[in-house]
Amino acid sequence: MPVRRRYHFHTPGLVYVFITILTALGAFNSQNNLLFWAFGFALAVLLVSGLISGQMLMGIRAERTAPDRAIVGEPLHLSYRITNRSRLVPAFAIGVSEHNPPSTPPPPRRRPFGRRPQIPPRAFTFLVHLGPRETIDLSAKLTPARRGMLALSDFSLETTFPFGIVRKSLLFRQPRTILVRPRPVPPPPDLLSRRRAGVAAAASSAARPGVGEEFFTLREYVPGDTPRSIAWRATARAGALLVRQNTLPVPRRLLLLLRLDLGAGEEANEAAISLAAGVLSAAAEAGYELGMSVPLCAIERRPSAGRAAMGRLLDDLALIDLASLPPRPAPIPAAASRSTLVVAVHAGDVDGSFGPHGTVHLSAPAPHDLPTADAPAASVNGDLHAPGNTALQHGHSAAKEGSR
Amino acid sequence: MTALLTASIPPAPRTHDRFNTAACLAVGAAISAYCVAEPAPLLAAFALPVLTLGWWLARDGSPPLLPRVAINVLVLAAIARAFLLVGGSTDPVVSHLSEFLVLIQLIKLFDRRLPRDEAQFLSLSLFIVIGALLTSNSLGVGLLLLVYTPLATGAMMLLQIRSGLTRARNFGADDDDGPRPAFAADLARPGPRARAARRHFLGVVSAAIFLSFISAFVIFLLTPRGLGQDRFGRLGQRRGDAVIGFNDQVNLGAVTSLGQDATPVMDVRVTDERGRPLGSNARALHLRGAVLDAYDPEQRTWRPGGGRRYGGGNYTLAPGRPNDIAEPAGGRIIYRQDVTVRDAFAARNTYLFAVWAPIAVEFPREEALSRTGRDLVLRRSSASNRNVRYTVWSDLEGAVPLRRSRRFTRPPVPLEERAAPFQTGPIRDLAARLLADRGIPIDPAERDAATTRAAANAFVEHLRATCEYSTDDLAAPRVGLDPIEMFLFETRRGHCEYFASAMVAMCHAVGIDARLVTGYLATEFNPSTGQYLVRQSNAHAWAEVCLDPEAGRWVTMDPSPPAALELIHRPGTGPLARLRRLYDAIDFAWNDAVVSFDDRRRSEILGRFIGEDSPMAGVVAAVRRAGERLAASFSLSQSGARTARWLVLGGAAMILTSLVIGLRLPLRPFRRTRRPTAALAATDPQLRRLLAGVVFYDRALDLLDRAGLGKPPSRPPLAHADALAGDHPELAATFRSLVALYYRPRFARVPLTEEESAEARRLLSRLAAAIDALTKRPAGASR
Repeated sequence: MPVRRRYHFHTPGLVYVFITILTALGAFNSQNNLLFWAFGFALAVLLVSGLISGQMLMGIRAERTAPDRAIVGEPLHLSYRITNRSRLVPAFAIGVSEHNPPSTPPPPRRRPFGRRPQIPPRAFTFLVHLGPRETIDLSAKLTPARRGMLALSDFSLETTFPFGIVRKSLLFRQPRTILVRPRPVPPPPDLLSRRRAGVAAAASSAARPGVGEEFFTLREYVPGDTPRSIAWRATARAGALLVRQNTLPVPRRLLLLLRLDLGAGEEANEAAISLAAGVLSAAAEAGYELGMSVPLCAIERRPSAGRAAMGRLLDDLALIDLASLPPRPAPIPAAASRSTLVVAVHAGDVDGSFGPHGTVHLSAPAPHDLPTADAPAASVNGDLHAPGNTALQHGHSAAKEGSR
Repeated sequence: MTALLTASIPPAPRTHDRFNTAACLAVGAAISAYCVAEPAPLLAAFALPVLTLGWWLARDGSPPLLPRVAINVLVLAAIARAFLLVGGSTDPVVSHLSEFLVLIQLIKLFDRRLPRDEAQFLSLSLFIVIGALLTSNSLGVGLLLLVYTPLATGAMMLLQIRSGLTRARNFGADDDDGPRPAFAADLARPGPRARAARRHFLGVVSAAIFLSFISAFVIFLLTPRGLGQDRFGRLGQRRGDAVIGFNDQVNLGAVTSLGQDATPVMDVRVTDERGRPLGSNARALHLRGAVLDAYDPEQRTWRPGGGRRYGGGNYTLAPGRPNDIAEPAGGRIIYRQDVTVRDAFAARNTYLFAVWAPIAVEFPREEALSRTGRDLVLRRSSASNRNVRYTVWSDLEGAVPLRRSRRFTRPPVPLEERAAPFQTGPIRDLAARLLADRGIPIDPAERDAATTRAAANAFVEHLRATCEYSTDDLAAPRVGLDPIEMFLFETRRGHCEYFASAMVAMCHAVGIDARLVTGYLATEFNPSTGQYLVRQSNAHAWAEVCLDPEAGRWVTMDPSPPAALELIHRPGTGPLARLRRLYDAIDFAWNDAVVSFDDRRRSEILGRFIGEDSPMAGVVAAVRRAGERLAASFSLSQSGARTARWLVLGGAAMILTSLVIGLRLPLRPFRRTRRPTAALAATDPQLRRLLAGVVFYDRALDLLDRAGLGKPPSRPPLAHADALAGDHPELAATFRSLVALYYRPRFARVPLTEEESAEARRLLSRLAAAIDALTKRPAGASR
């Protein structure tokens, strides 16, 4: 059910009322019957306008659905299901607007007695026609500009139909929050091909029996073992059927260490978070198990596989509140296993002591080092300074937010 | 049953096309209404083709646009013209204001950039219609108003749809990523869905118009009449008492050419005392208007009263009942005449027409009359009213004016004085000879009523026998020759004014008091309406002769040949004449039902539907009392009314001009650059601070917009640069560099350095130069 129905008398309506009054004055002054007709018609149009718009919106119901997650700079599609419950009256020219939260401060006046600028709606879509007893799905785009919790509160259905004299609105209050994840900034292309110094290639396998490709031990044949696994030479020597037992394959793991620095400024920290998201996304695509540690926020996630795990990490990044970070220095994370690729993302200057030996260090871009979409990052002395950019990697998608 | 619908985005040009057609038709009807009301055929000949051109050019969804400078110049020229006309013309201000609005409307036709401009384009037509209504209430105006109303209604409804579609596109509704917003079928598209939408739309339009008309009719009925009239003075009235067709002066010295204007001027229903209708094409009525009984030989002109009024006075008639003005001489043959004067004629004429001799007058509302005593000429004190309907009772045997005021007792100008021009000369000789031939005494003291009538008849017979009736061009008489003498003795040819003048001259010459009467000869009787239809071409002149000076008994005598009169005034019988009569009947019905609708008829209609004891009757009476109190409390002196009138008109003109046409000065230093990015930063103070330094980006968009390369709101900036690269590579590269600088504060939230700001300024200059070079390129040059 709508929360509030309102009639708005805007400038065209006031002008119309003024014209009607002028017509009435002219009619009474001249006793001109056609002017009396014109005055009567003008007044009638005012009444009919309110009647039609009221009847139109009387049977309208709306429900909004929105995704749970979104990404900064990428439009999310809000869906509105609008139903016309009226049996006779069709609906025309209805605009659906998503409003800012009530806590949004009004913009300041530019002049002492000037009009206060209007805050445009966050999203808008339009319905030309909805017949009686019909339902329609509309969608509107909303491009979040910041990561974190995006609160949706009110949306309204408005119409100036039929004559634009009066604007009638139905306000629906359906609170909803959407978690906006940071925009992933691609890391340097050769990041994942690097390995932590001293990591043995054989560490890709665990010292446990499994179905990997590396030899672990010989054991007696048990029914059910595939004949391919029989070790014939060993069997010949032992005089009993023996089968090869391989090791359990160890998945590739990546541990992301995010070092935030209050002194580096909000932009640098945000850039670091975006770069961290980019590293995680690239690693997930490459099949890595992902883990993350953000010491300053007490976030510790062990490496795990799957989209759900990836999602949790991105959610963690989204929920980092820079305003509430403690001002103490971040502790140095504990050493990871030898099979884990550790990547450290620094918001400010690179601290080589942050992370275990062999950590790959990335730095969020310095303010004067923004690359273009065509220029990949360069690596310097093994420490990759990945010029992650919060927005400019793909000019088209980056500019989706209001297209300005 | 509900149906889940998902549809695709309609193409905008279709909706615009329908709206454009409806709006231009509505505007055309409004302009036509004003041109019919004024009338202004030249304005119509100019405005309607321009409107058609504007409509045709806008069919593809993009209205033609004039440069802003040209718009400003045209608006200023229209304003200057309006001021010059108001200052130098005697026409009402409303006429000039309406003409000004028509010109502004045509300018706005080529200045429709935003939906707001379309709404203003449509709103201007409403002002023009009001101007037309203030000028005339003719049937043509009424029909055009009936055409205008549904067109404007439909156009306004389509505008709401179009505005919403435009706004949705500005929010990126037509981007090609993600699911599209569903608009439901556009009204103009093919398919069952769109057909249903069109059906619903037409239903809503019809319902809106129907409900509005019904409500308007009720409001029209309930609105009391007769309150607050002329509080602001006269609006939309032509100044002066110029009359058309009928003339209250007869100038025999001018070259005359009588036209055959068939415009109806009034409708007359004649009944006897018992209410039985009288009237046929065989019975002609002499409806007298002005009485002229003094001839000025110098000016060759007949005037009333020898230049001095005598008797009578000005007084106010009580409304709604007969007001006696004369004592009937016989009282046996009383004609009741219910006269309805047509709108255009009523605005220019103050005379009340009726057959001789009027004895009582009734008006539906309070009316001020000026009346001369002896000749019972009835005139309203002003020609401001359009709804002129009155009833006159006439005694065909004559009447004696009632002595109502001291001024009535003033003696009239003696006959000897008025007849002086004819006491000697050939006219006197002719008249004396005619009387002598018939043995009628020349000395007036020896004549009685019978012999006086015989004398007058002799003159009539002589004129009919010797003179030819003609309405052809008549040359002016030479210097020294009196026109009446020229008619009687030389040409023997002339129209009714000459016949009547000669009749009165001969009567005066032998001492018979006579007067020349101008008015209308009603010959066209419409059995279906039971009324005489009087046209401009029925204007006529005849004589009235006093048979008994003691008793004040006067009779009508028309010396014009009856055969000639029948030929001229006989109503046509062909198909065109029948169509004309049909139109006249419709026109009369229009006048009777709408234009002349007054409080009396209002009370009659309300009385049929509302009982005296019903609550609604109380509401109607309360509305009336409230209106009377309001009108009584709002009374202005003449100067106050004039001041108020100018204030209202001036205020309306100022508000209209400022709302509709905003002058955009082309001077660059004073021009504020649009800041669309400001809207984005409305809720983000940090972003607002960052974007305060990126005016260069908005200016770049402005430059592109003015060069016709504007970025659509839904297209990302770099994509727009790519789009420009095909035709304007250098310009695109410069714009791309500007965008790259813009992106730093916008998305990276990093302020620009001094070097970057300077680079932005250099790039902006380079962009402006590239655009200048582009616009100055000769036509036909490859891009």
